[in-house]
Amino acid sequence: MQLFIHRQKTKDYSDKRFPDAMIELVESLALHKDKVWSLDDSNGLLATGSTDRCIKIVNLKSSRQVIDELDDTVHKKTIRSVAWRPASCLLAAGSFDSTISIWGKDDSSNDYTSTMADFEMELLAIIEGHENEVKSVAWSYDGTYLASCSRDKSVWIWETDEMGEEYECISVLQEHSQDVKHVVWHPSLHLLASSSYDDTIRIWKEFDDDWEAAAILNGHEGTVWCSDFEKSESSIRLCSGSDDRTVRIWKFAGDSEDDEQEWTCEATLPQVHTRAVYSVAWGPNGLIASTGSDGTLAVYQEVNGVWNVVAKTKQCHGTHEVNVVKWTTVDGVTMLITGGDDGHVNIWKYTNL
Amino acid sequence: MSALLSEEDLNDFISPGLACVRPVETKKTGKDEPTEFEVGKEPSELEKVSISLQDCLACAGCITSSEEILLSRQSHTVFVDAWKNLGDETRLAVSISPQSRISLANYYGMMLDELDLCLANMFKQFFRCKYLVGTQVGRGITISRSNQAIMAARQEPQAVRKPLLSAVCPGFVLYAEKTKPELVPYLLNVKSPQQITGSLLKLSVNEKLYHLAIMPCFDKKLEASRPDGEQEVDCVITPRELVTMFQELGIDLRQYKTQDASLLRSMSPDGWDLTLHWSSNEGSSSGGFAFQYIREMHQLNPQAELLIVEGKNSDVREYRLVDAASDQTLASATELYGFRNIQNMVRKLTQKSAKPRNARLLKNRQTNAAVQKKPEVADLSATDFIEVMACPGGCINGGGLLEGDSTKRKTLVDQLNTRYAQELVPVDPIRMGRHIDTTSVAHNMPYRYQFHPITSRSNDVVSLGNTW
Repeated sequence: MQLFIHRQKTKDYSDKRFPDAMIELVESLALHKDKVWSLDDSNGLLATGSTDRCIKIVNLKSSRQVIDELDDTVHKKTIRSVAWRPASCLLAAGSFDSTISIWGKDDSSNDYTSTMADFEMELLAIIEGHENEVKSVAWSYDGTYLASCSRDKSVWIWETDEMGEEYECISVLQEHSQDVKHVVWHPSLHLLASSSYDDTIRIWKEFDDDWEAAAILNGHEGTVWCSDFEKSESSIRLCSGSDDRTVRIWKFAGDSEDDEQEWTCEATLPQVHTRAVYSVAWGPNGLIASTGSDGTLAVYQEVNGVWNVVAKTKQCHGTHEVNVVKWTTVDGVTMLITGGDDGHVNIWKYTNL
Repeated sequence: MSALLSEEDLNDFISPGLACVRPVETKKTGKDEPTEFEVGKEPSELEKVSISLQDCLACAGCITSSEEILLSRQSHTVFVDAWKNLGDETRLAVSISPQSRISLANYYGMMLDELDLCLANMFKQFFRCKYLVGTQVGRGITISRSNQAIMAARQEPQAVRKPLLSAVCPGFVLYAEKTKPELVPYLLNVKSPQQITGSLLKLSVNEKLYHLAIMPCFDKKLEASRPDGEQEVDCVITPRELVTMFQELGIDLRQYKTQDASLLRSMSPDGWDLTLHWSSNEGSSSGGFAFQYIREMHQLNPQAELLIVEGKNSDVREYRLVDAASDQTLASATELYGFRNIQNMVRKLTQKSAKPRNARLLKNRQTNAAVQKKPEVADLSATDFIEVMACPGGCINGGGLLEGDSTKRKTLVDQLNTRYAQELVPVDPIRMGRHIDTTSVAHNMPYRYQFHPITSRSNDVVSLGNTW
């Protein structure tokens, strides 16, 4: 009651307070026997990876049933990262056993919905090269490149053919001084961001016939766990989440003389998290979602250059840590999907009020 | 510690891994040690562990070695200390690689022959150095013996034949021994120009020598520390360290400029032709090993056509000798530089990645895919010999070379490559190598490496810190 009165008193459109939007749990799927580390969805298909070494495929469009469980003898350790290749039915999975597996569907047609009943993915290739735990894998927007990163401090870029069967290493980037936690590609450019235990984010771009560091983003005061690019054609921005409990926004400011890029830290989002931020997602709707060790899921909106928290839900996997969040749209409904240490994948409906 | 030699600017430097397996040993105090101890009254403290270069060579924990360990055995300060204590009987002999000479000439803004004389004058006057040689004599023997070994391997039946990998780059050899033991059978065991030059220097004079080698890369220090060649080179330093040493000792190299062309002759050991050991040869600026093999095969098959097939990037190039009439490949050799290309080579040669392929699935998918004919690119599986170098750009981009004015690495490499081709005098290394091999002490020397694949690598090393 006290809170309500307070809100009435200070009602001011320039200082928006939540709830301006609502996050409602639609379904909690008990998919894995151990931690869910990673999930990715494409065309209504959700792939999940877990410490239990299983990769599961869930059809988000109808009954949210598991339609395939991939061969769990392929990887000897935790599946840390899964990623669908854009516009295809090809999945990459990175494991703590230092390898990356590539999975495809039995027929190469891109119609992945018609044969949902007998949906089955099989192993196409194993990519070796990293010395130890693979932490993240990511496809470029056009599916040409697969990036991977590892505790061995390196980021690798692999080039593949149209069928996604042959993989050639085109660059090994060894400039991070510590464990590289996460890699992500820009939605429409060949621009890669890597986040590391060395507290930096590095931006990589193609130069001559190799890849080079375009920028180092310094500012976080702890491990950077994750970053995500803005889904925009007009500007290049990146959000990042860190052990220092903050979410920051970085903006590409232009090319510098020595073929490098200028990036500035544009904003630090309003403080929500009380512990490490493990995952950030910049949705096509312009909203940023973040989650992490404190189990809180938060959504931020930018209004006239100012970021506000528009929705927040605590303990979204009970008392467990939450490792990943992604935006998706199923049948026109905006959803958030989270994966937690409880082995669950939770599906949330997001509504603007 | 030298400010110049820091982790940031060594591109061939890798710090010790968490898995350094050098054990902590308890120092034995005597013969009659009791075998049981009362808790809290254990005798003797643990001996402080010191890690030698040889320990590093025998360990799978990290690829090369830490800066500290390198510097403790092989650095310009170690050299200066050793030089001060050489005594009356031991003479200083210095060998210098052509890439190091080009890099120094570029750094000091001199022509190459100007620099060579300058260095000779400085080493003679300041360090009382008796012998100064280029490394081409060693390279000639490396090339001629490599060619013989590759041609002998070609006599093997096609089914068991595999590409031989040059062992001249110690960065790559250590990588293979430590992390890719399955590659070791592919290594060609002919020693490098550095080691052969060192051996010949010591064998061709009746004096005790301290041999300092000036090399483009830090990994050459580890090569000199291998148990199979330890006496051949006493210390390796890079041009960067040389310049640091000059600064520390107050040497201004330019003050040693001289026109006295007889210097080089007077500093050559008896029987060493200075027009040979100061020369170079055609082919890559990393030594031209791939090209010189194909050149010899071409001499044996003069009717054949020599094709140069570029790879997917500028660090891969195949020399292919093709019989024009039958379109058959008679011989092939490939230059392959840089870690990314080494990775693809490993994948191609060891074929592991092909194993889990699902044949039925691949077939189904292929029938649906448009069949594309692949363009002609360098083909590693069909090549006889691969000149592998760990650094992108090869030895002319070694981590121990000096930086130029240009900020871009590639611009500097192009510049150095141009000077390498223009200013070094090319000789025929095969003829030279064979001649020296049959007429000198080299005749009795095997000059073969003994490789040691380290297979006991544990995949379940307990890792420190957070690993997720």
